Amino acid sequence: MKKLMSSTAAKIIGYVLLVISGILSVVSGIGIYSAMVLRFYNMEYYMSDFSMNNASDYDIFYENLRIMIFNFRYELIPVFVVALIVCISCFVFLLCAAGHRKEYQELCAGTLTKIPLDIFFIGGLFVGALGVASADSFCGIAAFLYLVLVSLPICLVVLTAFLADFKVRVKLGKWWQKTLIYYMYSFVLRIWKKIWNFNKEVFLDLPLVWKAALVVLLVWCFDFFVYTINSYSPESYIVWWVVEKIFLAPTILYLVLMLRKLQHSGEELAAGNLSYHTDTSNMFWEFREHGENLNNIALGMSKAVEERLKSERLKTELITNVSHDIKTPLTSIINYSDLISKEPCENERIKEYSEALHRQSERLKKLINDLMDASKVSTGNVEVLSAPCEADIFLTQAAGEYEEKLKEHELNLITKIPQESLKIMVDGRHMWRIFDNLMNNVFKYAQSGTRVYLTLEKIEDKAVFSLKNISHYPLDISSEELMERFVRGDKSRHTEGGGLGLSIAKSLTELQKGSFELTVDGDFFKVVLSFPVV
Amino acid sequence: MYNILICDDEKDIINALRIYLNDSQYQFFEAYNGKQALDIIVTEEIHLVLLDIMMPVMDGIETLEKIRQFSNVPVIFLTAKSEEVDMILGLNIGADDYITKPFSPMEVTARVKSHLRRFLYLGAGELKADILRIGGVELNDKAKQVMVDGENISMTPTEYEILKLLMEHPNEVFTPKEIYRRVWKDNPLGTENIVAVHVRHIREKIEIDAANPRYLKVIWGQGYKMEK
Repeated sequence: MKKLMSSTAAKIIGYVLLVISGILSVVSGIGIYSAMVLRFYNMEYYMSDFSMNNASDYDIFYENLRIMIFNFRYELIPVFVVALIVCISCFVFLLCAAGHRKEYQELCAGTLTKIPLDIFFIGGLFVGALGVASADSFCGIAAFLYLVLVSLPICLVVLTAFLADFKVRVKLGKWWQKTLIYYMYSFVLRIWKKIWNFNKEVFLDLPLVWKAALVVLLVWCFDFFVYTINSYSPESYIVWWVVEKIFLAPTILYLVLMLRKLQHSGEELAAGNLSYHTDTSNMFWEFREHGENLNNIALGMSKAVEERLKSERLKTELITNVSHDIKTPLTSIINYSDLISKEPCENERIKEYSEALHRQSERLKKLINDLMDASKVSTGNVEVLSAPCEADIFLTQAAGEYEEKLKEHELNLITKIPQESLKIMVDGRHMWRIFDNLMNNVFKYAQSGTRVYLTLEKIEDKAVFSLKNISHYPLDISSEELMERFVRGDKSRHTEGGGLGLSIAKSLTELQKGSFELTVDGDFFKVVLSFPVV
Repeated sequence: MYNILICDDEKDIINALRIYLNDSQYQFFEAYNGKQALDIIVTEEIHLVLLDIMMPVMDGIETLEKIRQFSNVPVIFLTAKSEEVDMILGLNIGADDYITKPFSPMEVTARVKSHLRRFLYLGAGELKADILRIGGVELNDKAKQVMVDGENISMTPTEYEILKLLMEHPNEVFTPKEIYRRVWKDNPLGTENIVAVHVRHIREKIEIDAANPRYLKVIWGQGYKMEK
């Protein structure tokens, strides 16, 4: 059966059989029908009424044909039935066989399938109609013969072919896509899309100013258009005006909201909140771009800050670790140089050398401790436990600690303390460290035989400490340089000290929210510390 | 005879300490890491331990934790770790003292002596009348005598009065003015500087390291106190 369905010859035979049996069944059907109708109209009467005399040859032939059909009416019934069965089975076979080909296992489209369905349908209708309509030029028995022998086969073949082809299309799926209407629809859609995309690109590529100008222009055109068409009826103009505003107002509000959002994130960034994220999901055009830029700035900045913190921490850690590692051998150096200097020895030079060794190793010890402190203090790695501290008592205590030592250096300390008590919020230990560093500088650098002034005053709402002394060495560097790490008052560096004291004092002062000022004027050296009074 | 255990991974430091602490009364044991130190403490009768923190095999912190499980021998940390956090940690887990490297030999000697004396002779708690005691500082008001770790300290009358005032009120902070009023029995008129000078002197006498006092503490910006 499959083989039969895929052979072209079988299909041709099928069509021929379909046509022949179709003609036969129609002819016999009409014969049977007319025989029944004639019988209904009493044949005897009809025949007697028929006058042979004034009848033409055609009438006679026609009459004879009728009589013949009438006489053969019982024989016509099996012919009709057989022809009809053959016709229907051919029709069914052709429908089933459609799409089957010898070379292919699957259903495949034939030549007809390439024609768009709607064209095929209209073409089939047209051919069928033409086949029927062309019978119009004939009359009588010729018209009948034409209808049966020409129009009927044409209609049958076209109808079968169309249905068979339609079946193939349906089976293959998406049959509606192979229609002219669909082609046109998709073509128009494609063109429209292209135009739209092009416009969109051009519009999006426009700078914001031009975009805004274009929108304004469109709104104006709309206004003008509405005004022109409604110039005679103010009522409908008002309706249009309201409709326009209903669209415009939310748009403008939305734009303003987006701007506000961006402004807010800008403010957050400026305030240093680098973790702030701008939500750009509801934004468009330049607004979204701007929001994303802000996000990227925040990301970059927080990354940079993180890196810096990390490197500062690493630096402090490195200094701390290195200091620990240096301290162990240094302990031995200090101890053994001390032991050497204490050994009884005849050679004066060895004594001198060992003393130098011991002095310098002690200095190295101080330097390492200062270095650690300076690195910790400058990176803010120091705990500050602020507590109320009475500045006047503090000054008394500090002065008392140093009075004797200053006398040893032939320095006269003059303190000036206000009657009223001044409270400041500081960490006492850090305050002591600051003053210790400053006073040590006084011992190292002050000219002996001069006075050292240590005063406390209340200026506005600040407690102001000041320390003044006269330098022993010429201070040939600026005050800014003096506060830097490793810078010392004497460039020749022949005094004790590491040059970290002032730097540590300054950092500690600032950690406690105070200010540190240093003035150098010739040999006159002045430090001013001020802390807010609570 | 006192048995002192010195534990440090640096042999030179141990040798230097032996030379500085050189005394016929001391017998030394050496350990180069915490494990060796523990073994020695278990087998020998040790009176004082000088312990480094950063050592191989077992560090000082872990060693001290183990020592404290069975012994209350005085332990002095001797370490290059000079940060405050390390010091607090060390003292909290049971160290009696904390000396940072590079140390001053005199200071180590003084502290070793002080701890030995307190551990072996000055039992805690036995209070005699008229004797004020804070840590290793003893003030005998009858004899007008001050002893630190069992050693007699000579003091001027003013220094004695100030120390007495502070010892009578341990942990209480006195402002310089208050001290002046109580000791000099007079109103201070910008003369309270003298109090600070005297306190400094007292510290130099009763403390091993005047800059890092154990007993007489300076509360900067507030005053002075004796800490119990």
